[in-house]
Amino acid sequence: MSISTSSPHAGFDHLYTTHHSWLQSWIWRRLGHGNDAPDLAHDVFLRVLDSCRLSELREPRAYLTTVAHGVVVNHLRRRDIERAYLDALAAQPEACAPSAETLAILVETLAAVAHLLDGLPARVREAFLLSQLDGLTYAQIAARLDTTVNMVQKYMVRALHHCYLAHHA
Amino acid sequence: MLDTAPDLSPLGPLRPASGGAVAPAVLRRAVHWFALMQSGAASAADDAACLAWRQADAEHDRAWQQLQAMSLGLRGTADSCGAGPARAALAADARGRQRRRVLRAGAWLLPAACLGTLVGAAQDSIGQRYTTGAGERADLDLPDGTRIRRNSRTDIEVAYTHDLRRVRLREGDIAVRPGTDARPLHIETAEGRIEADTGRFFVRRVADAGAVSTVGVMEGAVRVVCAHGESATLGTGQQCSFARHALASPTALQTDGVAWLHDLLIASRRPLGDFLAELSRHRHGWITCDPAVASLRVTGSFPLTNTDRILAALPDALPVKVTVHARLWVRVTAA
Repeated sequence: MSISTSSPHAGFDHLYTTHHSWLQSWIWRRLGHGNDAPDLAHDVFLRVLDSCRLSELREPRAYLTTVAHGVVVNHLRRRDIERAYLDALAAQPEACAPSAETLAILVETLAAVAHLLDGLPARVREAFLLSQLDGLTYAQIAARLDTTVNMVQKYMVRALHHCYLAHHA
Repeated sequence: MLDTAPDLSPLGPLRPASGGAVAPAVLRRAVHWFALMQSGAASAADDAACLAWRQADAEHDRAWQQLQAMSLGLRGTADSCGAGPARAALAADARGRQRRRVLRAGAWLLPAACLGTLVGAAQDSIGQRYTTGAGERADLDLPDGTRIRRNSRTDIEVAYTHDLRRVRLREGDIAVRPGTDARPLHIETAEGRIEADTGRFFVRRVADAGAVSTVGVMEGAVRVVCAHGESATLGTGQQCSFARHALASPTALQTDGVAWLHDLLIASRRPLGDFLAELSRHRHGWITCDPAVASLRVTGSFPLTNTDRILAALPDALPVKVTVHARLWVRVTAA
């Protein structure tokens, strides 16, 4: 069902009214709980509007779910990061919890770092972060991970390579 | 040809980088040198050799600057977020990747019978999953007429097959009114199962309380079977707790187990630490309690519709101080 319209706005309005509640339910089912479905559905429509592809849409729902999938995965990812971050922060006796605005920025930063690290095996990631976040020497990291300095060196080379390509490619 | 000084604001160097990737051969050498310089074991000779390599070609130095910027960006992240919590968050994200991959496959679109052992989460799933968030209480109406009322932070799975209705309570509290159906209804927990076809009962299984499930009957009767086989029948107004190997003797139904159904948290000389742990299930963020005051007793009936007010009122009744950081982290300490 393609959308033929006389103006871009009419096409978008039609898309929205026809599919908005359906999309919201689709998103809600994947989130598992909470009230974020309306906001995320809104995000999806904004992206569709930005992409200016309305006149070409043959399968609006397929397109909407493709965009929605990315939005939902992003959201879930940030939700997991925020939750794990606050968990870890609460375990520290002196740490001050950040304001809601700062927390949003920190979560965004962590998500950006997570994107760089995507695909690295757990031990490689751990060694890399102990070096780059905690500033540990390789000897210290080797002791911590119960391995050799040689292995840590290999992990670091692999991680640096991986992150560089994720960042610059 | 050096880049300008790296931007140390949280998102600075982690914004999309300007300047494309260097050639693979250059990158290999740059990574070799950079890794050596990060080791904490580089000698003066190493430093000199690295500098010589950097100065030998503009592309060498560009690669170096890019790696440096990335590294400084990560250091900046550690400074803003705290290294330990940042690492924990990133580890959780990596673990979540498996779950997100399943999401991609559209697994949740499949009927419960087909799900089988999909879902890469730690425990294998039996079916369609329903989770409530902090402070959220919600009803679930199933196609057979069964209504399941769920408390905050409650996690259940539903798997209806042609001859059995299964509900697994992974975490939290539910109140169940079975719908009329030819198939038996089983509520499963890690400790065993509850069999019921009619009436109304609650089941509670909270990780904080240890490996124990509790079931109480408001109307009708249920059969409780623990994992090792011991079973009992409970009638109206009875409740009992059970572990995998044994059932405790039934007692009278206690209101605190079902108070949440009326949006209440009821405490009867409950240790403050316990009370706050229960309260935190209904809120976002965390409540920490100083061990020095954790054994103080709390008594009362508290509306869950405003947990902030409950916390604000604590110092009136007990010698405690309540500090709130941005609504997300509440610390309860001695006054």
